[in-house]
Amino acid sequence: MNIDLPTSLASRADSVEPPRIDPVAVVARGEQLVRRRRRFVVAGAALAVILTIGTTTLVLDRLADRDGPPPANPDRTSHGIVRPLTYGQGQVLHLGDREIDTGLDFLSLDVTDDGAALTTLDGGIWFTDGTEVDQVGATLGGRAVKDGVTWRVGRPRDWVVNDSSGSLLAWLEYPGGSAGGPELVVYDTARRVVAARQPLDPGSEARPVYEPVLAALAGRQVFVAGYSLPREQVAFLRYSLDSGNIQLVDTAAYNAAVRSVPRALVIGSTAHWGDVALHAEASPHLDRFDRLEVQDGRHDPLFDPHTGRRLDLRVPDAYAATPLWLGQWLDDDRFTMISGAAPRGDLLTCRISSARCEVTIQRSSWDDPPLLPGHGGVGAELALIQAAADSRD
Amino acid sequence: MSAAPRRDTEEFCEFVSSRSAALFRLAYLLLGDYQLAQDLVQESLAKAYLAWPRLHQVANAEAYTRRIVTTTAISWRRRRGFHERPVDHLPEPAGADPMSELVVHDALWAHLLELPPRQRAAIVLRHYADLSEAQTAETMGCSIGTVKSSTSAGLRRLRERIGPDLDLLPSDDQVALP
Repeated sequence: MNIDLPTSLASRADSVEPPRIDPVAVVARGEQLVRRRRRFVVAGAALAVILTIGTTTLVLDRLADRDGPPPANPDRTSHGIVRPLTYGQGQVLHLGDREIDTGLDFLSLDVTDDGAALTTLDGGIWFTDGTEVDQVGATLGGRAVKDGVTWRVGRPRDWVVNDSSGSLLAWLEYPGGSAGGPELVVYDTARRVVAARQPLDPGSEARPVYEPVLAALAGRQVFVAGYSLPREQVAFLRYSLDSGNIQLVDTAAYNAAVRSVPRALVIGSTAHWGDVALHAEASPHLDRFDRLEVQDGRHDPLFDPHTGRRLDLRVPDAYAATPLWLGQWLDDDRFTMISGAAPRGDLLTCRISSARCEVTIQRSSWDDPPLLPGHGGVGAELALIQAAADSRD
Repeated sequence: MSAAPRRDTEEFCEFVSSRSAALFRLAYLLLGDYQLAQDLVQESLAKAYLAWPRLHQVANAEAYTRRIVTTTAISWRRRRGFHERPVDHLPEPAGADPMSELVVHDALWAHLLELPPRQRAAIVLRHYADLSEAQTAETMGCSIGTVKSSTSAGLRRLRERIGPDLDLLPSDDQVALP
């Protein structure tokens, strides 16, 4: 058979019908960028100095500790809590041995020490400890109208952040509607109460980031990422649940925080020179990978940031040449991975102590494509596309 | 105050109407995700609007927007495999019998999605957008040498995964279209 590459690519490109992109909406968005750029000129000039200093410090810090010992972290503790293997199939949530018929077409999963949070297309955020399923919050959902222009507000799996241990969840609510500023909500799943509400004021001189998205929840700190002018660099707002303070911090502070949580792994050349993986669900705005490439049975360098020890995981032969997506932590020693190529969709459980991975569930066992913590599911994006199409009709 | 005079805005709207479909198809091949591709094209066009007064010609605007689309797509994919996740079905062409043309196309697409972002971008720009190596380098914001190595590595990887029995891909020395 002889099929040339250009023909195949053109065939694929032609198989999708391009959306109608409204020029007026694009101009409106462009004008919004113009106004934003102007608004931040003064604040941005001051910020540039701060970021330059911060970046220099970051580089020096990284060079200094590239071969050095990992920093001590006296607060590191996970309390030894075991989280059940969690996944969704259709409307059914599997929480360890329990099967909960949620009655919801949920799009993403976030696990805490107390249960699982689910999101639905309308932006609903639900939580269950394995018994009842209660709505605990609402974010914007699939699309939002800002300045008269409709834009997406991220993917369902990015609507809520959690930590790899603990009881907290965080999300953004919009009490003034999509035209208003977001409010950061921190929810305690152990006490089933909202632990904090913090209005964000993107665009103010004190907090010069815009297009804020949730970045991570690390211990009792929540990081919100956004762009800062004049060079559209990623900057972070750090909210402390203990002090109630919110402040602009640099990437170094963010990296240090997400490396210091009790359960984390780093993909990189050293434990401190790489990207934090398998901490919590990541935001697409951030440099954080959750995929291990495996070739000839060897995988990308993987480190425990707390011990500095490199993990050379042994995976079954069938997975010796497949990318593996990091999934969820089960306890301080065990975490899951999902195979990304043939055999695709198998769930593996790996142990740090033995550096071994074993197959937990084979894809052939799934009744439907599973929805996994941190990975959403194939149905999530399809649902969004369908909803967008419905709204156009 | 607007970023562009009224006549320029009208020209920009004509540019959006005439070229957004082509830009979307490119974005779709780079990202493999309909919704993300739509978002990327919208945002890239909005940024092109900012630069419109200095772009002067539609050809310049298209190249400029294509570059934003490409570099942003690479950046998104490098930051995280956020759109990459286990899917329900991956065609397995190797050993399949009988092997339909559709299955081969699907297999190629699935394996293309697995390539690292630069390799995939280089292949799409060279073999779909039909850009020269120099134009591809300009679009990706890298050197011609990087384009050559990325294209070669990507094709090699595709060949390995598609299997030796398929005469699917051109050899490296056939792909250059200066």
